[in-house]
Amino acid sequence: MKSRISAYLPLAALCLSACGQQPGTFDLSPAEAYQRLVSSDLPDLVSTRQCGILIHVRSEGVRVGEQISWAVYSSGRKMVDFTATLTPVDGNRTHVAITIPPGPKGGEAYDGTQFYPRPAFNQPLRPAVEEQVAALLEGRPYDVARVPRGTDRLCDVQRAGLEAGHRFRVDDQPGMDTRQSDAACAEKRRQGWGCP
Amino acid sequence: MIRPLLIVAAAASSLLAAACAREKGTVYALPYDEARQLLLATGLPPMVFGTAEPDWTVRTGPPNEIAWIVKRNGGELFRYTATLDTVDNTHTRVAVALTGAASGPGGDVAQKLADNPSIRALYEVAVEERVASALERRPFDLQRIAPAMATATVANLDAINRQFDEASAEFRRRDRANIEKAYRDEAAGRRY
Repeated sequence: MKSRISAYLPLAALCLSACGQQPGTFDLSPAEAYQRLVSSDLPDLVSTRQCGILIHVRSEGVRVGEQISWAVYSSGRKMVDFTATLTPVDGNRTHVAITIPPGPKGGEAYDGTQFYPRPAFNQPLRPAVEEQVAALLEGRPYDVARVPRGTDRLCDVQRAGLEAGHRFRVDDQPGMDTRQSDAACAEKRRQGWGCP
Repeated sequence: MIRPLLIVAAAASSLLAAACAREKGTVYALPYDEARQLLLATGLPPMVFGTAEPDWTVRTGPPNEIAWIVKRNGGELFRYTATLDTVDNTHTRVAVALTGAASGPGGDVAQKLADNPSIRALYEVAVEERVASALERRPFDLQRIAPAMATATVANLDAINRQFDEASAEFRRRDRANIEKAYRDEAAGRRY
């Protein structure tokens, strides 16, 4: 019996060393982690994951040293927000948990199952936010290979339009870019119809 | 002892002479004039020069020659020359040769073709099939150039990958520039 237990010991030790620290835990003090996150407007997340509409991220310290929230705006309208909550593991390590609010179809916003006519980000958003946070806290470049490919085809189409020089606003008419939407609105007004 | 050697040497030289004397080209069951008219209406082989057909013109110099001159920016890169010879009233021999320009917009293309035999072979096989398909009044058969194309692709994989990487980087730069411009326009209050 004793020999059987001792046979498992190296295996257990191997597992412990291989597993390392838990995901979401970083070798930084809570104060340093907070400082890095609150001072970032998540540029890599925006550049790799944005769709056609122009978006602006504003970071905000909800509770100093403990919680940071990022609100994402387009044409002055809030599109989505998400929050990082920091928990001290010990003096030199911090655990970071990401919270994303519910989406319109249940689950969480931008979880890969939602539909947005003018999406701000490709879905799923969570792994991209987690990679951006990890890159900031580990002091390394954002690694697109660690993030699943976006699955929102509408986002892909609008992003391709933006890359080709078209502009999109969140309140453009469905299926149109800003120029087409403005022209359609002007024509409706000329005919005496209103335009949203 | 010397006599058998002389016989062998004579046989070898006559074999060599026969091989040299063999006329190049393929004989087609068409009268000379008809073959010439068909070739004058024929263009470059498809696929081998990329998705966009290069600029080219067709010229006739000596009466039995037709040249397809491939150009860039108006200057010659290389030419295919078809030489037609009457075999009899109903048959014509057609031989095609590829000649690179020694200077011009592509530099010393003759040397480049000499340095890259797989590409040269592909261009030659492709034009031979172009001529054959025209004179046999059938569609161009890509299967006939597939082996040469595969060989050329493998031999030039590094260059092809480099071109893809360069093109891809250029696309990414352009995409990035357009997105940055959109943000600048928005900040400046320009709608588009």
